[in-house]
Amino acid sequence: MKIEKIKLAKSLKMALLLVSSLLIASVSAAVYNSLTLKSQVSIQTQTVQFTNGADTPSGSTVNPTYCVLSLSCYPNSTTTYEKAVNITNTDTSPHDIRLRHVSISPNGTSDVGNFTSITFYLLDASGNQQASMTYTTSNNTWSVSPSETSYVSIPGGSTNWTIKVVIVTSENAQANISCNIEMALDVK
Amino acid sequence: MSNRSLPFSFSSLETIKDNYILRKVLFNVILIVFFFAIISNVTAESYCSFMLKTLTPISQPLLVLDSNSTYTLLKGKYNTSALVTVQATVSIPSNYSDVLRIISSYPGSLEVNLEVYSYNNLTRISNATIRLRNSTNSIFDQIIVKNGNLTQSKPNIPYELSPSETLYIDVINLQANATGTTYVYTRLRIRIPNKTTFILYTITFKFT
Repeated sequence: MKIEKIKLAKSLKMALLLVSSLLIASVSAAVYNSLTLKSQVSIQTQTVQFTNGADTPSGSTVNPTYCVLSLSCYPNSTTTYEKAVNITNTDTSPHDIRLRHVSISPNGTSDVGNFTSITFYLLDASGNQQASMTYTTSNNTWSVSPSETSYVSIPGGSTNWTIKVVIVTSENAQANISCNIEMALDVK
Repeated sequence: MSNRSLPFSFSSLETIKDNYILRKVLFNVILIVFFFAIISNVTAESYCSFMLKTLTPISQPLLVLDSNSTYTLLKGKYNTSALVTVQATVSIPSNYSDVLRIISSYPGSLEVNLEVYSYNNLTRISNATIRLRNSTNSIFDQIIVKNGNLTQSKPNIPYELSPSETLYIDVINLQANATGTTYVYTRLRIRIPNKTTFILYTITFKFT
């Protein structure tokens, strides 16, 4: 009998413990541990940067970390900018870079049908193609393939690579229509 | 079975059970091993992104094509491509003058030339020369076909077109060795001097 009483007392204790833990949980007291993470953030000069290419058109803005190119094209024709903008690695070490699609506009409107395709080629210092990304139209909708290129290694030592752009407009394309593309150059 | 035959003894387990500090140490060791096992599978990579934005307006053409000839069909909203259809007679050479005109509307000079990018059934053409002619009647051979072979697919030097200048395209000495239809697909390459930017118009020659 003594033992049973003890067992009962233990069960009672357990039940009380359970009830009290439920009460504690219901008051939503957040318990957390803190670890200290200390970081020093410094702005450094970018070693991989945009620089002017031989064909960078007037009206374009080329800054080391961002670039806006104004690439005119013409109706029912193919326009090629062999050296639209350069990518220069001023570091002594190589870096991995890739092109990544961000946005295109307009999309889904009749204006899109004035274009056939826009292709961006990443060319190395010898003019060999390292990567490409093509925007094509179908039924007034743009599609891009691939949406991001594979990473390729640009050598160090002020190596200049370039972006070549080929724009094809449709046979019945009309003037004063525009297309805006935003891409990212990812650098590792 | 005696405790000695095992790699550990029950007495040592009891020691762990009884020793509070030892229990805590063992627990923390297990926790650290578990933590490192997880963290070894976690990879972190960092990269930075730079913005590249392109604004691509379709502008008015730098030059347009024109024709008074019945041989030519102009294409596009601004006449920027054309199909020229002329007859290649068997054994008799024919000349077709001014089948197409190139008119510059660019304020600066432009370099222009014709170049072949494809053809079909060329072997039946025994002779053909496609050339540019300017207003002073100077001629500039662009494409030459001899005995079914393309002996010149583009000129060595492009023609420098002055602002508002008009060039004429002639097809001369056109002669076939058999009946049929031949296509010569060409591009008019337009380049701003000292730039590598160029524009291509499609001009197709059909020899019936």
